[in-house]
Amino acid sequence: MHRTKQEQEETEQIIRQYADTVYRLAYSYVRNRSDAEDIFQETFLRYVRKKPKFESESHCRAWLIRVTANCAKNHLNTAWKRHTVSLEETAGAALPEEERRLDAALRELEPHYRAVIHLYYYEGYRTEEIAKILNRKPSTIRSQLKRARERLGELVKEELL
Amino acid sequence: MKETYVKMQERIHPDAALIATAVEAAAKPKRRPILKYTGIAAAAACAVVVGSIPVLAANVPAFYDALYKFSPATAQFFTPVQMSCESNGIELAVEAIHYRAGENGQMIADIYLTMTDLTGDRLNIGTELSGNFVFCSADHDGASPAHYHYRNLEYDPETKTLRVLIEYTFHHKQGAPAYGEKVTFCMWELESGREKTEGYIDAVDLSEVKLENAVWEHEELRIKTYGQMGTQSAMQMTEENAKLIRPTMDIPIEQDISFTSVGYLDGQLHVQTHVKDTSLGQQAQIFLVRPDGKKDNGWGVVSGTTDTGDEEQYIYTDNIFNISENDLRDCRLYGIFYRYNAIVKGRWNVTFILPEETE
Repeated sequence: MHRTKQEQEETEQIIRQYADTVYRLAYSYVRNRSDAEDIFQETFLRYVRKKPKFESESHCRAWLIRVTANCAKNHLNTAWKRHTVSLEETAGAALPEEERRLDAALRELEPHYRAVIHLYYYEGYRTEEIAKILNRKPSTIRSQLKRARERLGELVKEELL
Repeated sequence: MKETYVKMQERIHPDAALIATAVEAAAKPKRRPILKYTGIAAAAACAVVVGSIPVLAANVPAFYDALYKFSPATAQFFTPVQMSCESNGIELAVEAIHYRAGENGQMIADIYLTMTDLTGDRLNIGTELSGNFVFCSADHDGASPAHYHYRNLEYDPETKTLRVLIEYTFHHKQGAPAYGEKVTFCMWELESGREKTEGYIDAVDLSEVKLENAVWEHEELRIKTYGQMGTQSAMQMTEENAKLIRPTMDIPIEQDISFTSVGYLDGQLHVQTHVKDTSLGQQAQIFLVRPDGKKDNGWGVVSGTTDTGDEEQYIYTDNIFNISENDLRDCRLYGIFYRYNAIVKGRWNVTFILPEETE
């Protein structure tokens, strides 16, 4: 079926409204611009193809986050993988020391741990909500978050040494 | 850590070009945006570096697409002006371009195009181009995407020519239109004679629907999901756990469309349709009409698809409803069906120079 002008405008609004959300989560998985851009495009392509109906903004956000996570996982499973790049190279500016250390530590962390860290600390979701979005058990998310924090702590200490 | 992490995230933004590409791709949902580097793209990139792009190569659609992704300006530079072209027996031509001011002071180019069927009768006043074309220009850095609105003006059955108008509102970097700029109009599909039929379907007895049914395991099918959000079930449905009910019947309900199963899986009613031929854009929407007359279109849709090159054919589709066996007995099935008389595929590229504004 054809997209009316109103549908196109609504779609554009959704893309612009959630561009940062989708891109930042994609970046948290892959830690480089090129792959994050691929995941970004794939996510919104799926949105356009599937045309889901949302009851609220929170449902829309959760749907886009879940699709971004799925696209990111598919991307990470492909044979061609780009290396992670420091945020300094991405942002094109020198980072404060604290951020530089955390960025370096995040690049060493497994992608699924990075995603949980991102959804918890940046998007502000509770572990039960993250579990629902990522279709995992809450206990799994809690243990991943705990392990991610521990691992980040170890990596940041290594950076200091 | 939270504060530091949040500060880091605030530095990360998608490029304006990336967003604009996604918006433009959304306007033409049947095609993937020209994004990923392929073998052709790599060759195009190499050709640019070496500096040896023949003008003819730039006029080859696949090469043009790849080159455009690599560098819109380069693609447009090497693409020759070509005011008409023919593909699949249909000739497309640029007839005229006129400028006018829009309501908000922006400049709009009215681009008049003609399409002539040289071999058949596939065009008419109802022919649809929407979603099947795009404008490409050197200024397409994504910072200033163009907007366009299309409509059919007239059809001449004697010459089999359809005349269309595309109102192209473009935004140059400095807010002024790019007179003298080379623009390419790319089109890949026409759809003619869209028909819609609808009505109650009483071919299936809903009072005898089985509560226990088998999941359909078929090695050639790939599951896609279309979730309708707002329900717990939809939130938990993924491509990995979505299921199709096994087909158990073949009851025709419309040309090329049949019911192939009606039954419960995991406590949810699955009503399955099978579109045998999607070459004319055949689609079916299925509803349950409750005793109060309210139409329920279900909470989710699962489709089984096979890949055939670039096109995905959604062959078996389960519409999923949350309804008890008792309530189902008082309902009726209702369907809305769509098809086209003709879908014409091809590749039409016309390239023209935006003329200077005349007073």
